[in-house]
Amino acid sequence: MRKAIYALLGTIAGLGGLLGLKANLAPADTTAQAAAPPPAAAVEPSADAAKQPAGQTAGQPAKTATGKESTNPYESVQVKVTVSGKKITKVEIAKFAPKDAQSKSIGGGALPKLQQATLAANSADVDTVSGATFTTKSYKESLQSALDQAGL
Amino acid sequence: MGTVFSIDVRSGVSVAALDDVIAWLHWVDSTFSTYQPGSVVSRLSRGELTPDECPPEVREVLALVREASAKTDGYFTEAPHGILDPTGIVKGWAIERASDLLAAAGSSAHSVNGGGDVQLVGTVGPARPWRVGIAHPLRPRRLVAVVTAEDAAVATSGTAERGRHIVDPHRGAPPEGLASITVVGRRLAWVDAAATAAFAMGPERGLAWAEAQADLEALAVTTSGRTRQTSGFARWGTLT
Repeated sequence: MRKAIYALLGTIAGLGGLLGLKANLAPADTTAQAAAPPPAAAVEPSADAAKQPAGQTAGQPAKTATGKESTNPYESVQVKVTVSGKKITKVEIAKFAPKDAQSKSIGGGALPKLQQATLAANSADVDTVSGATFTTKSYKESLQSALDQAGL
Repeated sequence: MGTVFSIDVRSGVSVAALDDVIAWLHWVDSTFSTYQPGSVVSRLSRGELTPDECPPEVREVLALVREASAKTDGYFTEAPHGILDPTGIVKGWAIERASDLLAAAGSSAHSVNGGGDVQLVGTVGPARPWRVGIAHPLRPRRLVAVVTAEDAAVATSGTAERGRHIVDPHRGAPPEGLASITVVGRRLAWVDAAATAAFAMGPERGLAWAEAQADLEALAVTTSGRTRQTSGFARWGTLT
């Protein structure tokens, strides 16, 4: 399964320049009902694409990576990701330090949504999520550096 | 601000095709950004360029904006803050076109999600349509509904975004009473614009307007946590 993670810096409606694009090759994951698909381009290889190099297999020990702390005028955010093989299985906010009460109310509500968006779903029954929007550049920067460290 | 784009391809497509999609999103961003003073749209809004001097895609989006404005009683507007800003339709349009690029490259089954707005093509597998969770606007990490669909578009507008203030252009103030509204249809440019417009209308008018659109269904969550849906929404979605 080829995967690529796209994190984009956005404008008001969230279009933006690419922060990073990581492509990995891994074998097809036939048990595609993992707890949460990562924000990834999961390319199910067709039969003729099955000649890809074997990569990681399921059941590997999970590893974690903590992103760099990222600060904006509103808050500091640090993100920790847990990766099993090539799948993001968990995204946690390692640090969230709002600079004022309003940021706390906005960011505090937004960050869990960001986690949700990153995991794409909180249920194995869902392929993707609508309405979980990214708003926090800091979160994304920290997430990207965590993904870099995790080798995704 | 930021958005993660998730592309989930369930039928064979090359990495080169994915690269084309990424390049496309880059191009859209640099062309349509209202945050980059040198972007085509910024120069257009300052009057330094005429529409005829812009790339054809810009004229296409401006035409879509006018069409959406006409179909939404002016609730979708090309100048929500008094200056030209087609941002409200660009993301949905860009995702729809990204999906078209993948289809042209041979993918008959994929989803493209940009910041929670989704274009779906085909199915996940045999007899297995896509399942799109609708984030609960008031309860983090909870879903309010699941939409089951093939060849469909889903967009949600809500209050939870810093820096994005959907304003009722007829009142010049944010609408009241809606926490989020999700619109389901076929093509994301229109569905995205419709979600923005329906949110700006507020709960009563927004639901009634969506009900009157033959090609759209909607699910609204009010600020008090009540859900309301158009009569045909149940064909697509199940409340959780």
